[in-house]
Amino acid sequence: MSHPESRRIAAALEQRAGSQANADQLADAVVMLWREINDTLTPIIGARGLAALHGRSLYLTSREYAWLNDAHGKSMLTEIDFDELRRNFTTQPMLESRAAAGVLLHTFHDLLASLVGAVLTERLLHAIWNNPFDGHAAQDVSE
Amino acid sequence: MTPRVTINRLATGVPGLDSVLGGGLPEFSFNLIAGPPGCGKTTLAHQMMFALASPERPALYFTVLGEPPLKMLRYQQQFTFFDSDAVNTSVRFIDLTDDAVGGDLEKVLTRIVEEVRAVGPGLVFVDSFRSVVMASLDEGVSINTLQHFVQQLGVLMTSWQATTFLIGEYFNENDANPVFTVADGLIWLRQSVERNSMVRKLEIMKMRGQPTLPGLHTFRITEAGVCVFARVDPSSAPAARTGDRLTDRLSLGVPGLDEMLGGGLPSGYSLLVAGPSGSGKSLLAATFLAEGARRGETGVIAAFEQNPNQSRDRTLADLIDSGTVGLVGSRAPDLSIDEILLTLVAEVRRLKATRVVVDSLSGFELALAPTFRGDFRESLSRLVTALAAEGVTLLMTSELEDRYTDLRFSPYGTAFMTDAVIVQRYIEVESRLRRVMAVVKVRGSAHSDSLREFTITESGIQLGVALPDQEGLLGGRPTRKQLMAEESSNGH
Repeated sequence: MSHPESRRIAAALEQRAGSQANADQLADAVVMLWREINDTLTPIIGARGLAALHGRSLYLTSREYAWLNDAHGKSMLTEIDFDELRRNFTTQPMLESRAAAGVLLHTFHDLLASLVGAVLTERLLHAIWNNPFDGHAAQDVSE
Repeated sequence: MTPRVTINRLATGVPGLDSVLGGGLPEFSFNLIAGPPGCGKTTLAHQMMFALASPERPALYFTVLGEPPLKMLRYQQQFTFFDSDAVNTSVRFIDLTDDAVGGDLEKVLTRIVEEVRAVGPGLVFVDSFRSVVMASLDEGVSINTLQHFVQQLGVLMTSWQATTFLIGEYFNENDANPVFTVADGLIWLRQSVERNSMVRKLEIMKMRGQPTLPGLHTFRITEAGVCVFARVDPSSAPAARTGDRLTDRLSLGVPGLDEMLGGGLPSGYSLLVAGPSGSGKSLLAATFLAEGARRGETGVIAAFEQNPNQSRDRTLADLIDSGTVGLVGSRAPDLSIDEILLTLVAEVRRLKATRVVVDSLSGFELALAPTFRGDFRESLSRLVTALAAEGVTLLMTSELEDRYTDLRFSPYGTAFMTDAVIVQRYIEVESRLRRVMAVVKVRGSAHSDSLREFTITESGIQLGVALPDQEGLLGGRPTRKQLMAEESSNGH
């Protein structure tokens, strides 16, 4: 993952989980990030709209990480199932989970950008990748 | 005593719309944008929102069950007015789908009020309103509840000092809809299809507190968004310049022709050049513009030939390339007279042009969308009046089939609308087609009444002599006058 977007995402995850996180802490961080995305995007595109994008991202990511349970593909959800999401990320070794979480977020980012454009995506998600309220120092993601 | 309230008018940022609205959109008004699917309601709303919204006057855009917001953002982004940087600062999108799904209008209203309280917007958009209506009617909500909802919304938004737009899908303006009564403004969009042409039209059916331009105004949607071509009302056009009309004359650039006109074409006049195919009308029009350029004047040509690049006169092409003459073409399909007229007037103003050519009226008629062709005469009259108001001198060409049995000058009765008429015809003399032209009319001025032969050479139109020894020229087959024939045979 050498893409600058991937580094930002990894940094955002690490910011929330801490660098020494265990599997539970990582799963919490993943859920926390998705809740932030949920809070940011649901008002704009609706809970169903977001659940659909999240489900599609899970599906795409599960091709690389087959253990990711694509629960959303099975039924039309009206919102993201955070409990299921958390369960998913507690079942795997840390490195594997961390990588999958990054790919999932990156997939989601690209999917949204393909629909509404990179500029608007950046506009909407900027605050999440660069969370100023977090205790940890923001990571410098520029080259 | 309280002075009368002043209603601020907001500039909508939609070209032409402000003048149709009668000077802009009244601040804090409660408006409905209605029309069938695909007619441009959402686009119009977005365009106004991005133009009007600022950090001090933020906008809230509520999406309700209509177009999914994700798609709306995707497609609206294609327009140049869409400013991603404004999103979440001066423009906020709020999805109310989940609140509207149950058809509980109270809940929708509560959500709108909550958000309005939180943001304090100067502009509120609810898209689409029909979906609110449909969702609620499905749930057995009566029209009264609906009217109550709309009234509540109207009152609330006005007291929150928010200019509000309900975007609704309505197929029929005769729908007994309570919204129509409550709304201060009613902007109706339509699209009419005739054969293969599609024309979009906009009408302000109601706008409290100000006089709007009545009638249907055509509009076009391009990548820059909606552009309205406000109907040009000839009666509202300022009176044509009358000052030195007759003393201030323009040369047409054909030696001898100015004299025939009584000293040139009076400035501000409209001249119709009528003649059969190939008689040299376009060449005369080009010469008119070239003569202007020679004298330091600029011009505009509205060209409606089939193949503009092939048939255009070299000199004229150079003038267009150099920017001395502005070109208004007919690339766009389904033109309306107002679109052409406004484009022409804009070009005249840009170049401060004094000479305008429309070549030709027949091509112009073909370029119009079929739905406008029925009103062609009336449209032409508006064109002539509006250009006269600009103070330009106008030359129009008109294809006129040679009919040797009757004397006609134009197929549209244009001769009566224009101030001057030159007619060109073919005649047969000694088994050759020869050209003649005559000045038929110059309003308020003496002019020549002779039929003069002319030829077209490398250097342009060459006016020859009158043909005093021929008669019956207009019949197409002149005969040598008896007397002249005898004289000439005696001479040899």
